[in-house]
Amino acid sequence: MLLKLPIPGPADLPIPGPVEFGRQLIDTATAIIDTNRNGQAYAFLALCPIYPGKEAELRKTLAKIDKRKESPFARVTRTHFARWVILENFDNGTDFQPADEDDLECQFLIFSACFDGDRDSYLDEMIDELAPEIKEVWSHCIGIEVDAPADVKRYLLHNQIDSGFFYAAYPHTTVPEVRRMLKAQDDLRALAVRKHQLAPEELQRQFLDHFGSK
Amino acid sequence: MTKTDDRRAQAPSSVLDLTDIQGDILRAYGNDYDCTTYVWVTLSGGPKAGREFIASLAEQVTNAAPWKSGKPSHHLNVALTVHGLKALGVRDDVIASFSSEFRQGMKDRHLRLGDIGRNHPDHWEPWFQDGRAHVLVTVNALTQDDLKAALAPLRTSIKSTFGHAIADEEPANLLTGQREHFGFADGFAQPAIEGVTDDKARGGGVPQMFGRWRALAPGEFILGYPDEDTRDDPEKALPSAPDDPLGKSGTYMVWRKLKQDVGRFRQTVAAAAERYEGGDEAKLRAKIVGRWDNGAPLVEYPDAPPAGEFDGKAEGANDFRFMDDDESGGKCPIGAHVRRSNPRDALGWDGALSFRHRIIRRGMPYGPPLPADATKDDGKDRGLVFIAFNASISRQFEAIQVQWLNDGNVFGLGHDSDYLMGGEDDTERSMVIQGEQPFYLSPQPPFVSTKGGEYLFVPGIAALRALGAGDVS
Amino acid sequence: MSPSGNSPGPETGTGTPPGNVNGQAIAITVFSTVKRWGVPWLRSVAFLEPKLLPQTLLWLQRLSFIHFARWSLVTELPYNGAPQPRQKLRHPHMYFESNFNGGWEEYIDAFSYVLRPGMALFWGSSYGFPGAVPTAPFKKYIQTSDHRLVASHFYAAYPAATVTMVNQSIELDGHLDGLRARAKDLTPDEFAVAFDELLAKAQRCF
Repeated sequence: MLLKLPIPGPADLPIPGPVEFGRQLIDTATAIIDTNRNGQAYAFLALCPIYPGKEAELRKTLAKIDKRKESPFARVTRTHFARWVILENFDNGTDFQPADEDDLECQFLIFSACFDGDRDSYLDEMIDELAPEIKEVWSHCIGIEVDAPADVKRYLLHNQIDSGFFYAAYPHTTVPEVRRMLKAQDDLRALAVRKHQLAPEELQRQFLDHFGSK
Repeated sequence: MTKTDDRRAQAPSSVLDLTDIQGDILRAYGNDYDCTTYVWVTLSGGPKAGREFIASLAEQVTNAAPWKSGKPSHHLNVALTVHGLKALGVRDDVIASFSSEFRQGMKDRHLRLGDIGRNHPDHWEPWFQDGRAHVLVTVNALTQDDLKAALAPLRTSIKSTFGHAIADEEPANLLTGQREHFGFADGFAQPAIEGVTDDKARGGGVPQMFGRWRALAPGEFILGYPDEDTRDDPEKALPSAPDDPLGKSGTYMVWRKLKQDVGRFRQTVAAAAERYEGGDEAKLRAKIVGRWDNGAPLVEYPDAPPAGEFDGKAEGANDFRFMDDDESGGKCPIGAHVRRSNPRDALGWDGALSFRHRIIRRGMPYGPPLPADATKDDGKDRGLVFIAFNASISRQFEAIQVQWLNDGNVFGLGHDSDYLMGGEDDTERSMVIQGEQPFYLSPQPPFVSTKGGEYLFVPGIAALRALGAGDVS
Repeated sequence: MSPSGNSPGPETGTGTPPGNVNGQAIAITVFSTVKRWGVPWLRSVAFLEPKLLPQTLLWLQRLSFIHFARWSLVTELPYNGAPQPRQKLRHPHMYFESNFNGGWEEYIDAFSYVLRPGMALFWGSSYGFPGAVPTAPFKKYIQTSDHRLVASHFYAAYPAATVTMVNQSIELDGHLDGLRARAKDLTPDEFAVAFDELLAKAQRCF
């Protein structure tokens, strides 16, 4: 019926300029060497075993953190997205799994984040900025010394799961850049809407105020 | 889920049983029957008297079969809210088989619908706030005398015969030239339905490759028939519907009373037109809507409307697309009302992102028109009774309202709401009119506000009899 | 201006759990169990092809509603010593996460009518994947899978923004750069003309 391959026809393919083409080559090479990378973006994932019997307590702790006015990840300004999810079991729904489905013997805390730049410096920054929350959250997990930053890092690296494929819609744009550009978008729209009320001098002045420097 | 399993046994027919479908769904009475009253009934006489009332209505409603002997003087159609089903004593398990949005009702969906601020249910007509709106009887008549003649016995039957109450009577009338209160000809683009309006496929159906169109599956609008997802199902499962016998030949209905501030609309457009293309107010109005006052689409007539009346019913009158002719919005702005509410192919992918979100629209203006030369509002209540029929309120009506009219993201318009219909806030609405030099309409308070409404179920005729007989109580 | 991490977000209507919502952003976290042949298939074809031929992802770019998404194969569980039980997995599992912007109806449409062949590439080797046609079981698969895991905490750095808005703002930034550099050297009248040129060029950027 509507089924058709969503592969763009030749007319749809933008022909990349030399700079763009070079960047794509570098991206491809980077993504093949380190599958967790796409452009300058990195996707980190760790599966951390939860102490049997501590699952409910961990849920409560996470719920408490979730209710706070600001997410702790806001303090690590390189973070685009991050999540904590508790994996109780491999439950695809009965229609969608094999009869001898794996039955998890302990629950896992999934920690995942998409951020700017390289993994090691991000983890350092996060372990520093999130020290209180790391204690609150990961103290429910097996095999980590939450008070020792070096051990937290070792632990996260030990439990890391590599990406097979990482998609990023705008792999070359960092969080501060996204925020700045979004603000510029808002400001320019507002200026465009009130332009007819402004004399050229005033228009120019307001433009320079908002956009004169990045 | 179990229900679908039960239904797999019988192979569903996609030929509609017109004698079992209420007549106002597939046929626009409004064009000929321009005298309408919506009667909202409260079943205060109790469940038994409620069922007797429904049974009596079941024998009076008009079905969708072609008329055999000329135009009847009036038509009567019936729909029920979830409060109405409960008042009839319909069993809980039967009520649970209705869609969740219907069971919640329009009032409880107000956040999702953007009915906040001045549109909040607190400002609605009282009978839409307190669950008194049980049954909607729609009376369409050829003349005012016919309407009076039909309403008198209906009122007697409601109050004296069955001991119920009338919560509200909402009269509505077509305005001269099939216009709504802002002055635009309305009601052109209706979905083309297989076996019913195949001739309207060009412009009313789903855009296909090479300029072709196809009509939509009947199950998009009538329950108990294959829809666009199930038509290719080898197991012949039918789309989700209430338990039988209610799941056959019925549909869901959206009824909304929208108050229009005509004075504000006229002032706003006049003021903005002073700086638009040498004061071309008619063109600016057309840019906001996407059609000229007479209904001619901007994509086809970008510079000036065709002279005189535009015949929207003529073959191919609605056969236009946005991406082929006007991807940039230079003719019909990306945010124009008709481009948002029925985007055709405007979202790309040959309409794949819009074809599941179509509704049958049956609007009817209420209140007296504001005199043509008036620039200020006269304080009289006027607006539009907006009516939509669809098989899934959440997928069809709500998706249009939420994703296309209240938000602009899918069109690349950020969080802009529809300039004509949207918005609850005084400052946040503006609109870009694309062109060689884009034109920006300043933020404006909204022109339209919600005065209430309900989600309803329109039973098939056999289902109406079953409700009347207490088969599902 | 730092957007709060826990704004109420859009009503998604079809029951997206609130834990998975932050402003416009929705988190999906799914594990699906993979048939054995899926491991070589995913490693040598599905995960590699889009890297070598980034153009094949143009449709995902165009649909423009996923910020970031990732697929990972989990064939063994990381072990951290006692009291963690040592468990050998009988099946490979695929982890999928997506950070996208709602609405849900748009998402369902995109996956059901546009992305189906792409989904077969990634999920074709998973148990229960219904194949591309017919649509109804396919939708049920998406809906059942996507609502399974609920995030305990989901952070989005710019929750009011959609992917389309970010992409537009990136394009706009390029247009702005042109004028930014010379704006102060222009006379007011020259500037007014240049500003109109900018608005004309960038009219689809906001």
